[in-house]
Amino acid sequence: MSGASLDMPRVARSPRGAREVTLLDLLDRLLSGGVVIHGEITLAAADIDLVDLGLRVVVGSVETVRRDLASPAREGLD
Amino acid sequence: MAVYLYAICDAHAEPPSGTGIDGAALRMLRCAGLSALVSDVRDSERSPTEDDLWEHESVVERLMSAHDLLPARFGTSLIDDAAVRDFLDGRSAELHAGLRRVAGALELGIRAGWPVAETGHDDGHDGPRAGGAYLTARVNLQKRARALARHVDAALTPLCRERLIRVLGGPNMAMTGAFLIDRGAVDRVRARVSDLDAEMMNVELACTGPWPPYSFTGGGDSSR
Repeated sequence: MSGASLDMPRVARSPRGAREVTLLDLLDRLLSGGVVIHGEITLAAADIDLVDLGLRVVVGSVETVRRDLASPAREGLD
Repeated sequence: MAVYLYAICDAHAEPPSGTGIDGAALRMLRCAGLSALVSDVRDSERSPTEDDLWEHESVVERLMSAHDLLPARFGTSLIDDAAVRDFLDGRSAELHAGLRRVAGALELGIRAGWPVAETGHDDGHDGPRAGGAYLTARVNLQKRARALARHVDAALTPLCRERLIRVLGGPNMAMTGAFLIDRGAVDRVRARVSDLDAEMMNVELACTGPWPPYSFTGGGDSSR
């Protein structure tokens, strides 16, 4: 990718491995971020569960999506 | 007719070219000094697909190339146009504040991993001490991931407005980060990430994006 412009559509130029990483990033953002209409629809679960649920509900056909589930710990830098 | 929401902008934004999900026309609804980019929902019964995710993202990014915006969470639809205007009106203070926060900015993502899967072991362990050694290895992995995250954070914080760092501490993925940066700083931040990647042996640092500022809308998971 070059220049400061947005690269669209990202998937068209990404090798497969990069696309998988980008899909995880996409899901993470689209399903956990962004403006929500009803704040209370946020599931009371750790971020990872939300993405997992999102994956099952939304992307059931994408069997190649992998995610590092080795550590459920969510820590900051402190 | 239900409407699907893509993003919120200020009052003067025009819809981007092209269509939205299911080829529906993109249009702006206006209220309270804000604009909401929407399209009609053609089939409210069908399940969302991966293609819909990319379509949503494509629409938002096309709009973002011309306007600062707050992206909506995927799958956000309202019952009709009036409901969208009510939403803009009712949340106008928060939405205006949100637009100020991201004015002139984009989001970049960082992923840091160990390309050769790290076990955290300093040497091989078998037999009855293996369990304790495994736990020690996992703790070591967490420590290394945190140290890496601090290093990346220190290097990139001067170049960004805000950042959210998540330490994962797994054998493959050490950390992820979201950085809110000035639009003009994209190349500079990518170059810095590239330098960091080159500096560190057995760490693979990758930049994704630029993204719409999903992580900095204030309306999503507060735990991010």
